[in-house]
Amino acid sequence: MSNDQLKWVKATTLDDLWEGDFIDAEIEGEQVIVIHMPGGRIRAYQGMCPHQEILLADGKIDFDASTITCSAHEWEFSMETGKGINPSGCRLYHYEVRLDGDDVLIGVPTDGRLRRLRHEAEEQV
Amino acid sequence: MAFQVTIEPDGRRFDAHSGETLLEAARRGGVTLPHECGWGHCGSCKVTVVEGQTDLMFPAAPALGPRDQKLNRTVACQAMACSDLTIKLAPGEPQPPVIAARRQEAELIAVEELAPEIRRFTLRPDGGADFLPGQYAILHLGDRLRRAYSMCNLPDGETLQVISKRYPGGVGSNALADLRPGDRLVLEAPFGTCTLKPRPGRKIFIAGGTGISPILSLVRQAARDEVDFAAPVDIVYCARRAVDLAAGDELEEAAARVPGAIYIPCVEEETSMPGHAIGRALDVLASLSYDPAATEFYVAGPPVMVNAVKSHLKEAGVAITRIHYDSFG
Repeated sequence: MSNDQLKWVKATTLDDLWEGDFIDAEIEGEQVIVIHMPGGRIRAYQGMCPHQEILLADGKIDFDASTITCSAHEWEFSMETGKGINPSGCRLYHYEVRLDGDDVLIGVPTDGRLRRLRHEAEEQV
Repeated sequence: MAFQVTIEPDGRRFDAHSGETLLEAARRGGVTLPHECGWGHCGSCKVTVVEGQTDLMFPAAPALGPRDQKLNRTVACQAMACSDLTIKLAPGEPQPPVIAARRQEAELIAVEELAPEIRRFTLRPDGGADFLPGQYAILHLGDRLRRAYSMCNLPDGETLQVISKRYPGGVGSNALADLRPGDRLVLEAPFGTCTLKPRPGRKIFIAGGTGISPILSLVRQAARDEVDFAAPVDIVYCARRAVDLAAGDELEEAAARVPGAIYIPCVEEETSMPGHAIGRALDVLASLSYDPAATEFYVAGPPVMVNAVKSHLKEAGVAITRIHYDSFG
């Protein structure tokens, strides 16, 4: 995806998002979770679990294990990539992130499509 | 006393009486709020209180943390209105439950002794009983004393049957054990998503103690519907002693009617009873052969057992979508 299709929206600032912390925010009409990983990498994903649309920020954000686990049904995702660990075969929508000074900008696609992915995993519960 | 609850931003309204949960008040007013567990664990029914005061029936609801306090959120299944309210629903759209839970008065019509301190209670809710095998009811057993019990019977439109063990010092189990046929109580039902997925493939059912209840209902459903899983089905029932295997004969009988199913009773204490495995749920699980990528599990029992089995299975590479269980606190 090239950058000219993205609208860069300020999600927060580094003052409000320290290393080892996360925020969730509604950005351009959708819930986004922005995570500042130890070591400095910043990741932004769809903020709702693809299973039952529970806020991921209410789940377990485990910086040691580098995982995001939904509070409702324990779906677990890689904090590094957004890919499903258990169940595998699903993933979180992964937003591009860039810094402008202290501002954390999220690249929101301008195609008008819903960014939140909803998976009926192969074995739906 | 009734308070008015307004949902933002669409302005839908319902009345909430004091002592009734927002979830029930909304349902009575024709608004089905998302919900799942009914006791404050899953967080599916979280709402933001924009204006007004609420009181929590279960202040230690596991779904509520510091973040919720900061954002002024509560769980509709446990919160009661103390003033007129404006609330906002969570941004997600969880799938609505197949059968919306409702609050009903019920009469206890029978009590059977199944094993030492383990009894089956048959309840007849006013206005009928609707549930799926594997689901549970929350019984109101005293002031703010509510306990979840899975049904062991098949839905017949009229009755709910639950199995309960009386624990010394257990407030809920003692209150239930003290009830006599003819007594009335309030209940909410049905809750839970540990329901049968009748697709083919290897299945392992594991019941521990009174976890027999939902497993019995699920296996009875498979038998009644003549479900052919076209693969081996193990039905494990664990208790401390053989005498504690309440309704084991009924589970064995239901299992015999499911093609490919084997009933495996398992006790911790040595027994001269033939055909009993010795050990705990994890010991039996370790003795069974199954492909973690192609086996589905139904687990019910004390939280310690359910959590141990769940962790073990996840470690073994079983997808969480293939493990069906309920979490009662």
